Amino acid sequence: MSVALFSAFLNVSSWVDVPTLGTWTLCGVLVLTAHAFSLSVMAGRGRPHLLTSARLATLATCALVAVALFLLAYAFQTHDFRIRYVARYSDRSMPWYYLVTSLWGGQDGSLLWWSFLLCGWTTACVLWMRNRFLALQPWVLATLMAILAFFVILMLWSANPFALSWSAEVPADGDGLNPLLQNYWMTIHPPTLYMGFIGWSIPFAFAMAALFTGRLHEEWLHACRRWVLAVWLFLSCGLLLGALWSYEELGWGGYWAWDPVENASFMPWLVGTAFLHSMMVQERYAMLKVWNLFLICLTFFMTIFGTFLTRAGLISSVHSFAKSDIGVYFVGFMAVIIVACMALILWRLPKLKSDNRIESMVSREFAFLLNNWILLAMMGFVLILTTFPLITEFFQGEQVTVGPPVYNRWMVPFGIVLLVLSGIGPLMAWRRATQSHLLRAFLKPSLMGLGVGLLHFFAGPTVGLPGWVASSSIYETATGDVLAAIASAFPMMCTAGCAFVLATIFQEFWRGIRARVRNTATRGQPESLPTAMVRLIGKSRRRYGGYIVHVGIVCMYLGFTGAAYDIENEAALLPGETMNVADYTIRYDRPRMATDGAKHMAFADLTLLKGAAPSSLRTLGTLAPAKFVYRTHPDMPTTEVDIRSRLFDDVYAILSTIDPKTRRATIRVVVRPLVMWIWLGGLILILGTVIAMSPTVQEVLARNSKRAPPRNMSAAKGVAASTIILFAAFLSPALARAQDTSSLHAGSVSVHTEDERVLFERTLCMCGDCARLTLATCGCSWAEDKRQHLRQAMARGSSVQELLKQYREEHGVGSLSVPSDEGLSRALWAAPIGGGILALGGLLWVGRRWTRRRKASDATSESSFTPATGDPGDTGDPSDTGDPDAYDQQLDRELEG
Amino acid sequence: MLPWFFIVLIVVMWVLALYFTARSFRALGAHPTDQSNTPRQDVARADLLLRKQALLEALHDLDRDMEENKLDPKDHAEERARLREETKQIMRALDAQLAPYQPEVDRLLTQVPES
Repeated sequence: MSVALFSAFLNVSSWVDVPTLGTWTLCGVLVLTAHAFSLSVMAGRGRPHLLTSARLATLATCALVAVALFLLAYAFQTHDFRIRYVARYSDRSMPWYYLVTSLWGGQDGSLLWWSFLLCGWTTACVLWMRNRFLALQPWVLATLMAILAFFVILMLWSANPFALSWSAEVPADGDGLNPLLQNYWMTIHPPTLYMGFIGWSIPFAFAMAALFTGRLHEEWLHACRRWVLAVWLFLSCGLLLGALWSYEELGWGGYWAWDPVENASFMPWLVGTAFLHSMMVQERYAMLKVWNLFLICLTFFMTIFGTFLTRAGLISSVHSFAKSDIGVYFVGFMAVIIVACMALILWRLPKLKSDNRIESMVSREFAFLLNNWILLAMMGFVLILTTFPLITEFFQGEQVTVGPPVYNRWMVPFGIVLLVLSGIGPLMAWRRATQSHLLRAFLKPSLMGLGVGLLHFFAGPTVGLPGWVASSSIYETATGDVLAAIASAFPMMCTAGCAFVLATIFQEFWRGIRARVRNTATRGQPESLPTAMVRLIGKSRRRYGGYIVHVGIVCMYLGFTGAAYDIENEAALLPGETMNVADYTIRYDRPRMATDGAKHMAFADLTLLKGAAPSSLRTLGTLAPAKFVYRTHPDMPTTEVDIRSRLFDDVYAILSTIDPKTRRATIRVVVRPLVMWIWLGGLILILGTVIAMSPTVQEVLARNSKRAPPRNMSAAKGVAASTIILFAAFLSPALARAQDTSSLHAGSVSVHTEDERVLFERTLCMCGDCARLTLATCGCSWAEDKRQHLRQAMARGSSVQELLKQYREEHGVGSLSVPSDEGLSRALWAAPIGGGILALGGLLWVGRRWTRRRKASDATSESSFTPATGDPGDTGDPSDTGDPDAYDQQLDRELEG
Repeated sequence: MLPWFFIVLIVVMWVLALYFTARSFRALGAHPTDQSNTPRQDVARADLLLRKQALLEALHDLDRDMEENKLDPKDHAEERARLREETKQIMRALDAQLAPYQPEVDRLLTQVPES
């Protein structure tokens, strides 16, 4: 009897109704959020004694959100199919880890997951602030609670993850998680990306607090500096992990498809990167106050806009959640954000006047402004291209989708300018650089860039990496020809740019190390070169951490260049037969069938051999691309690629078809040079960011000497832990391949000629189900029929242009991925380019105006100023009367320390 | 096993939520003038310290740019003087804030026995 009672007690579901408890918990969260918000506002409006209460109420709210999330996780683990969300996104055969990932696999759960992560950031921020930034704290808490309230209201009114199933009868089993989402990357990529997305709430909250309180100087920037770096790191890693996921799991051979959802996370990254640079200018010289507030508001807005794009179902995307009515809530929330930000900035405009102005256009500040300009121009361009279907629907009544070819072509010039700017910035001094110095500083890096570019052009073809590659024109206009020429020269320009940037970074390190060695030798405590380098980085972690991040970005650019040299081959083989790709030979050994509880698997076992001639073959390893058919989704066979990654190229094997009777397998193999450099660049980026955000040894020791050692050490431990996690995430592709994986693009596409590639890349699958996929990637039967039809037409002599025209007439304007260069479609590129040019013109005009003012003030003060003798110890302080006072000595001591 | 793991987490979070809520309401009872429950309001001093730190960083950058020959010596000296003067003003202001406590500090120091 007692055993039965105990068993009944263990079965929590029998005495606790999880759906009801979950819904009531969400209601409780809303009440507590309102409570914390009210207390925060009151604390900010003249009742500071309420701040402690507000902080505690915020922590209570966060704990309650965690309760709601863990309740849903519990419901998944116990297969509580009374809950609609659980029934829809899980089934009994799923292992526990996919049951955990199901939490964010659908709309409702991912909103709860979003709230949970926001609470994680909020808790960390509340604990970190303690007795710091007391004036800002109440408004930071109020802003965070307002954001949380929006998501809780959204869940309670429109997307309750605890809502009961429609049918009265509880289903025996659930529908199961989409096979596309059942892979290793679903456990790491979305949480990382979400962390990066949601984390921008923290800097935004500090900005709002600064506006509410009128404390608009450097305080809020100082407060959110490390948060910005941490969030930026998470978002960068999220994007890179997404690219890695796409590359290793989706089976179409690329890592970035310019899908609206990818763009939605890329746009905040662009604006956030601009903010990361320009905030340094305000911290140093109290300039660009309005600009920085605008940038952080825009970054946060873009995260909400991105979420809106993903969830409202307005734009077709392979990543989108199901269409729902939550879009209207997001529109309202975005309107509130815009109105609030604009009103607050306008209200505080008189207080936002810069204390200083840019003195010279040849300065680091101005280089940062140019960097901001190019990043915002890129964001604007991606925004217009992403929302173009909505724009055309509004004006023309038909959605026109913009495909990857347009992005790839237009982003090349932007990318090259950004790369070069990242090399120019470090060469500039703050305030104003001298002409002679600039010539000296630019000489060697420019020669290096030029030399490497020329070397690539002349010697590249001999190693199969030509500097100039043939590119087709996406438009039948002069614009198309110019873009094609730039794309053709991209490999050469990119390697030249990379060499230039690397040379500038090396030069910066070398100069810093040399100066340090010289100074320490003068003081009689000489340092060796390695010691000087380590101490140099330790002393200016932000600066040199930033340079290391730039090295990571350069590595990524090298990886992107490799895409120009892809070589692929496809063959239908019987066991024992071979095929050649580049200088590799692939032998098809045997088909292999396997099954587990969830799916049937068909593998093609391959042996990878180096060399093309039979006499000189050397075995490198084995590959096993596969097809999986899941029990719950038999109509969605997935393609499992297998990749052998090396430093200079990847061999990417895809199983297109396999016939169990004849044992014949159609195998596609792509050799992709330099892809590894993208992931390597990601690791370097993580390292650089961690260096830039880590506390100094002195800071940690100083804090530890105070009263709360556990908290202080936890900051360092937190940085170390997040670094290890992110490194592990990047270093785990081998593990990833050992997991069950799946493909978003069911099936692979064989492309036989360059004309076929151009044609298929510019035509969209119009079956109605394959959102935004081109015929070059879509594996559905409709797309395969259409490809056959187009191939036959090409064989009969039809040109690509004729077939594109026919396809457009047959399926409408929206069936092409490259809108024609005419009418409204021309605004696609003309508007952002025009806007960018206008902004650049404005920037140069303001820069010149400020520079002239500085020259005028210089002229008036010239006579009164006595130049210093050049002795570094001589302050040259015009206010000093001769004897250095006690403050001079104290200042010297602090500067040396 | 895993469901129990989540149950433990749920219970812990419930306890934390109740604890923080109770403490939040208890803190509400604090009198506005009760300093034991009110964080120290040394906001003005924090501002000055932040500005001083930013200026010290700017001075470091300036000297580094000079050491790396990025600046004209005249520009360097002029800018250095300006930044130093501003930093010294802040240091004076910081000391001025502590001035009322100085006699008490001196008195206490005199009571410290010499070792």
